[in-house]
Amino acid sequence: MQTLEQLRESYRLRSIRWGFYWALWCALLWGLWYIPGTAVWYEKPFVDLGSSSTSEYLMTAAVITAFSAIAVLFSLYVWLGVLGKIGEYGRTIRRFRISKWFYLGAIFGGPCALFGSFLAIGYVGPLFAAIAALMYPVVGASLARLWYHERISQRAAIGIAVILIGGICVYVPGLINELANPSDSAWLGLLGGLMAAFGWGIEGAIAGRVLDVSDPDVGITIRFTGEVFYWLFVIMPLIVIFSDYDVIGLMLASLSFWPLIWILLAGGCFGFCYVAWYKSFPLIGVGRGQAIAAFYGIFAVIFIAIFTLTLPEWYFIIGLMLTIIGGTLMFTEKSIMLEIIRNN
Amino acid sequence: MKKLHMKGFILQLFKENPKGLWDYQVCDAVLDYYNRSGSYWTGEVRATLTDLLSGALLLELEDKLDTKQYFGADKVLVKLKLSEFGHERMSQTGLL
Repeated sequence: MQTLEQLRESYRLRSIRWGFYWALWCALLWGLWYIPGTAVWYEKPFVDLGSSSTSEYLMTAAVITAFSAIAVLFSLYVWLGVLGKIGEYGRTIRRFRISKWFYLGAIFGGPCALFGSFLAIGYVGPLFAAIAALMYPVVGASLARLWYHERISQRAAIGIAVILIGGICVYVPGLINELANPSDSAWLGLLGGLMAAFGWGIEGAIAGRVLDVSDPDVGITIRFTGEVFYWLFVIMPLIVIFSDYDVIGLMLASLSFWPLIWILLAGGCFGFCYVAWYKSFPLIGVGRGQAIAAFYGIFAVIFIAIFTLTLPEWYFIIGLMLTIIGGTLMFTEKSIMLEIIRNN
Repeated sequence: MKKLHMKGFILQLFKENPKGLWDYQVCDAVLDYYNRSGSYWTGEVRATLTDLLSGALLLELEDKLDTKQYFGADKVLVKLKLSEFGHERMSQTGLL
């Protein structure tokens, strides 16, 4: 028979492990998101615009992101309904001193990080965008430590660094080609990369702060309620008013079978990826949660290989090994270090 | 009166009981407040308490073994109280 101390230890370990499982689940879904997230660009009307001028590409990206945010919110409402937490959503959204933080997080994670990511893809290249986004745990972990004294042990810091180096290894050889012939507007892409890293990092730190007084499933739904509001009632109207493109025509043309299917699938992946991200923060902290979620770089390559039947390059193995080593370093950290994730 | 969200209600419960509460007492109070029952909601409350403890909003006072009375055999029952940081966060988020 197990003693009280043994049972206590196994309960503590189980809770922490769940934090890591959620973060890993987030990484898996994030990687999987690249399949529908890329496929939608090959459907009409996006396929014609995505490869034309950069401004048309950005307008298309804005429309896809706006639709994607709606699809995420829809999947999150289904999720809340299944969990029986619709009432909790109403009770939390009413408390503005709590929900306002999710709305702020939505600005950083939505228009700032996502649009920054698209800028980086459009003006430098997709591999640069991927590497820039991989830097977000550094921003998130640093902010969480400075702002609310999250515990980042030396072992966790090394784990985070090793995971990030592993992610970079996967993309750096391609990045060298991308940077070989920079365009005059490359600085916009670099700015976009910074927006992605800082946007997701800051969003994570904000989420880690506000989730101590609110539920993760509900919190992420409020965050996407905010993002849908920004796209539909602020950004899209501004684009309609100030651009010369027929944005409304593009939106209407998007409402056909295959674009909607891909957007719904992408929304489902992204929604549950975000649920898992937010659920990991209270259990293992923002720094560890974000670093494990940065495994998405590896999963993306694996899923693309599965769906396109193209094997990744040899250096992918180095990246994979490093991320596994970094993850193991954190996963095997003594549970006593992680039972309470803050120094207060 | 409009109800509080679950973490808010649990924090207020601890605020009203400065000497601390056992997790099963919190479960009973929460399920009663929201008119819920069953193991799913008991699990939700226990998971919420774990979140609050790891976030340092609650402090652990003592623990004991469950004798099938509350959550089942071989489960650990925990007595918790509101930390100073938890009090501070309640004040910052309008829960006091």
